[in-house]
Amino acid sequence: MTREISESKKKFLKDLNEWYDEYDKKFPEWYRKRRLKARKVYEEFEASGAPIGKYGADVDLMEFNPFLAPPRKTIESYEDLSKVGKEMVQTVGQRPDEKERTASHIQHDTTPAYLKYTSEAERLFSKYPDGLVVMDIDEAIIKYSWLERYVTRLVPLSLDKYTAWNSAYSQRGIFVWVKEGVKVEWPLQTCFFLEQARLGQLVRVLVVAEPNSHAHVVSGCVIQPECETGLHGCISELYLKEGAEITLSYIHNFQKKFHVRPKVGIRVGDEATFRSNYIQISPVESTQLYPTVILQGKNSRASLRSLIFGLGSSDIDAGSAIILSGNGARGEIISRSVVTDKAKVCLRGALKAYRANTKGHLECRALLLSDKAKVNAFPNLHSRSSEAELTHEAAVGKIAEEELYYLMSRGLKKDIATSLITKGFLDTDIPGLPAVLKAEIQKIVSLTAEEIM
Amino acid sequence: MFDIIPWRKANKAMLLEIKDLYVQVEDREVLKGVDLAIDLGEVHVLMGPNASGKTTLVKTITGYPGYKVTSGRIFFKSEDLLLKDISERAISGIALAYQNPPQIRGVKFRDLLRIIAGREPWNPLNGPEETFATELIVAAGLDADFANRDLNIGFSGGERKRAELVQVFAMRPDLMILDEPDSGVDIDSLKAIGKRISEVVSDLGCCVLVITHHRHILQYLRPDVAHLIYGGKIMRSGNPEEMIPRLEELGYEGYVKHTLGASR
Repeated sequence: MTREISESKKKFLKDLNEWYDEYDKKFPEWYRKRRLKARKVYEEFEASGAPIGKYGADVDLMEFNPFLAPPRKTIESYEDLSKVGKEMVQTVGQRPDEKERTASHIQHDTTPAYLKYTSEAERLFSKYPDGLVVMDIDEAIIKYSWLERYVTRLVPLSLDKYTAWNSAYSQRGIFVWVKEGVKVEWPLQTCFFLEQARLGQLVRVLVVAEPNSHAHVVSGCVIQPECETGLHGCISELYLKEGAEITLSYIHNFQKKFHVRPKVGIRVGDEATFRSNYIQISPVESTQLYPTVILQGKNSRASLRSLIFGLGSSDIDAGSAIILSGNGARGEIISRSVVTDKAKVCLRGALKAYRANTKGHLECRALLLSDKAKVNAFPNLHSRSSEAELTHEAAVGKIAEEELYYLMSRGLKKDIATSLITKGFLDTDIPGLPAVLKAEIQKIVSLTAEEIM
Repeated sequence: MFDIIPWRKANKAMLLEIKDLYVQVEDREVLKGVDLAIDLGEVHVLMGPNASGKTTLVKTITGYPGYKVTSGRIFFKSEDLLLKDISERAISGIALAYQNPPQIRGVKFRDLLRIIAGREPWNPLNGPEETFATELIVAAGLDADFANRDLNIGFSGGERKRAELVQVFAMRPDLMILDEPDSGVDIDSLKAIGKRISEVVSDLGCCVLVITHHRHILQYLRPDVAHLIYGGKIMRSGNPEEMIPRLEELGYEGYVKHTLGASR
């Protein structure tokens, strides 16, 4: 089915393209070509009437202008961030004091507002000179021509209408390059801060972990509290080479009128390990994500965890997939969701095994705290080998009365007992995280659990 | 009943007073006119066959929804207990050690104990080691690492009983209700559990209502009154030293037939 793009949309696209023609001038030719192709793919999707993606609520992307935001002030130090800004970034795992962090980054709307290696990084650089590169991705694309082999190679620009849009019109984002053998002890913190209402904040994240490198990335996405509506979109591509270990913790705190579309692709090499924690703590209008890990390497590992609060009238479609194609690959997906009010949460999980000696486990549990909340769970196991070992558990239900009354009979009020059980439900061990990060994440989760009671 | 407790005075308000209590569970009448009174400092033992209403009685006292009182009254410290919900009853001083407690994933034993005692859940960032709950746990004969475990998950039968007692002790109740604290417990542990209960009871000066089928635990609790519940009614209350040997000899059924059948 094809349809005519309306005149107003045509006009909007024309302005958009003109603006980006100018913006893209700084880029190398290969990247400009991909951006132009992405525009074309987007227009084809738009003309065909395709929804924004395969899963999740449909959104008209043109409602959220990607170049709307004025340039924002850059800051020299985290101290210069506004009080509100500091409070907000802390809700998504950022530490304004920059203690126990290696680098800090803040993108304010479309402006790279802050990027600095901390004093912890000095120790790292004395051991590994130039061992770590953290920079704005648009600048990285200009600086490193080899990124041609990485950018848009894991999350194809033509995957859906959304990936085409984000690939064509992204501004900024972050590039992390951990050199061979470099072990980055303290996490890198990156933050996407959204202030301009009706902005489509479209960013790109690229992590390249060279052989035997280790790093933790904490990525927080948050808004200025007065900002009422917007779209946060992100394409993240992570490449883990032999023996690399990367953990990615990404925490989202938006508002009820926001659309959130992170697209994440990860390729894991021989003996390499990828771990992620996704935490969504606020109501949203819609969120859709389906990070996909390709365990391509021999004995590669992936562990994906997500904690999702379905609040207000959120429409959340969250899943993960692991493709087990390497010899001896192992993967697990563990998701917990607390769903309340009128929220609608769709939990997906897929394990696809292509080798005999691969193993995967999928566990998905949801706790319903209201009669009007809705949860659908779709656990999916595909095996192309009779000897692959794939298992899954899924459970959706309310708080067991037996547990509630038991705690109440210890003198706990009903709301305290409910919150304790809910926090317990969300308490999953997060292996491979530094203790400090584990404790910080647990604190965010337990604060949210208390707030919703 | 006053005849069996010589120091009780007529018309004096009891700590717990149950009067002509009828209770339905899922539309079935389980308790059919129970009378029971426990005064300060007393230890009572409740015996009776399975499905005679023992657990229904304690869950009703505790305030479980689903145990519907169709008639009768319960007073605790001279207040109408039926007006209070389950947590209010616990706060007013009633603590139940469950026969089969549920397992609760993710709820740390130490955190529940701390909350019971009015403290904040343990935050590992605040200090090197948790001591408050750990001490209570160790005092009940459990290893210190139980503090960090999820409530009742992977606990053996005996460990659950001890874990129940730790919680009940932490509540510092006026009335301790122990629902078969001795079932599934080996002889050595039984001795330890029995001693620990009697220590705590004398420390707190609280009353006890214990449900059991065996006299061993009673060596340590030394009950003042024994009650036989049968078919949803207290058939007899009396001196434990007289009643229990007869019960053991005749069995519940035999006791009811021979002893009470004759007097009916």
